[in-house]
Amino acid sequence: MAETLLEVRQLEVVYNRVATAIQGVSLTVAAGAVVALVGTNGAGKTTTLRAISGFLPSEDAEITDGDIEFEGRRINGEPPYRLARSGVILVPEREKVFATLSVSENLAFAAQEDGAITLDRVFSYFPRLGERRNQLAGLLSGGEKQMLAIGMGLLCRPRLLLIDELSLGLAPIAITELMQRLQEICRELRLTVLLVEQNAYAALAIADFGYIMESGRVVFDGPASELLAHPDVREFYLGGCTQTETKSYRDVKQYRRKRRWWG
Amino acid sequence: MEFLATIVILTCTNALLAAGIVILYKAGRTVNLAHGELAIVGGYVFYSASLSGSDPSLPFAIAGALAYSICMGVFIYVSMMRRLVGEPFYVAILVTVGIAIVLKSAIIVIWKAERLTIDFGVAPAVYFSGGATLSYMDITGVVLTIAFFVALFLFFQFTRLGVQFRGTAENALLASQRGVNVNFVLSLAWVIAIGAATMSGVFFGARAFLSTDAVMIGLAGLTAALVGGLDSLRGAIAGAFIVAAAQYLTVRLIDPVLSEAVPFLILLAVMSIRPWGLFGTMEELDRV
Repeated sequence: MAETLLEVRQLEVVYNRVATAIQGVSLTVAAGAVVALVGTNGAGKTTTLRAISGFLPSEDAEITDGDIEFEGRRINGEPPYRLARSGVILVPEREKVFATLSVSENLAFAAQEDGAITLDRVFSYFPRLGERRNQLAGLLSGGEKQMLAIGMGLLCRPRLLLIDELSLGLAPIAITELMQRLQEICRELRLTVLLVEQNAYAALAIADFGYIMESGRVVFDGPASELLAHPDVREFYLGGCTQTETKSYRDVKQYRRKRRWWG
Repeated sequence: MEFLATIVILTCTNALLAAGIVILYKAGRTVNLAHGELAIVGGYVFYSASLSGSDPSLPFAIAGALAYSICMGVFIYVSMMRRLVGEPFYVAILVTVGIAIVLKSAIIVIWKAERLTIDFGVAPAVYFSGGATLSYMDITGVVLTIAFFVALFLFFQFTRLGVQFRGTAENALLASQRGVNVNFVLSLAWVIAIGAATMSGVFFGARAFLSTDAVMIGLAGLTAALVGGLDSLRGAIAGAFIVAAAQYLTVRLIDPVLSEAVPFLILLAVMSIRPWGLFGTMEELDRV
């Protein structure tokens, strides 16, 4: 069995001292695995990710209960730069690149002197970045910004890569391409990834294991292949079908019956 | 020729102050209203440190000014500005007003508000017709100001820390996620800004005098920064030149009494036509 790299136990996060965003969230990420954390808007996925990466204080939020352990060390409340230096790297949902710096400067910003991954290797993964290396990052397309953000993450010597909404604002074809590239990179580098996504199909398709969040709780978990085949997950998160099936409007209506796993 | 030399010297004093204001604004969105006070206190510290030995000593003075810049920069950031993260922008501005009042009081308490001229006994270097002179201290001031801006340009463009500095100025959260100690970078911004202000205070003290009234140079620096654009270093130089030229021409052609008002007239004119300054960016101003 693979070694556990990240363990979150019974995590509770409260915003502004009054609003509980997540409650009793537990999850485990094994070394070398790609784990997907999926759910709808407001499910608490990003809050979970921010708690792990130490970003809660900047949003007037705090961990009120539970533990986060990385490589067996409790990391609750550690500042983001210290977590980043120990290998917990976040690719955030928005504002993921420095718009006023060039592509090369963005990558140089992140590059660690003793990192195993070089700038050239990043350009080989994402040739389009190489072509635009002198261009300002703010002028890149959405997909190219995602590539750059992943490239920056890779150069930070990641032991655990936390990716928030990789598919946000991208065309379906760009999502497919990016996810495939991420999967190849993960396999080649044996990267450990916690992937937070609303696009459940795209995330579970490349993940080894998956968690489903709703209303601040983990309501379902299991191997990604099983989740993809599970009738409830298919109904509530995959539009009741796989992407190759054709359904009528009535068939794809997501909330025609109540979810069974909570309430 | 004298006309040009005087404007260049005034430009240097204003540009150093404006550069500090721009750096602090870019790094932490703080508009520092205590910059004149920081500059003049720096000048006083330079003067006092030079008298540490039996004879006036330039190395002691430089060491004192350097120590002042580092200690004051780190102290202001760590004890005050760091705690204001997430607070409305005007809170930081009000804190700088408080710093200005405390520093002005310090000039009265420590130096008894004495009018002092920094003088290392260096002879005038260049004589102009009509009796005007340019001292070695003035020439040193111009050379060091140019060196400061060149060093700043090289630092921001070609060093890893400089790139990290620019990235932190744009998005501190992302920078910290990339392993950058944002507190270190922002402390460094304060140290550089106060260092530049101290240089400006010293050059001003050498050409004129240090006193509680001399803190008004901060307003010229602030005007220069606003005219050039609060987020633009090249704007700081352009703004400093415009303010210096206007001050000189007012003194020479109209009335010396108006010299302190003229920068603000320029400021009003620029703000009403181009509120983000000559080289500033529009969205940056929206955040003020």
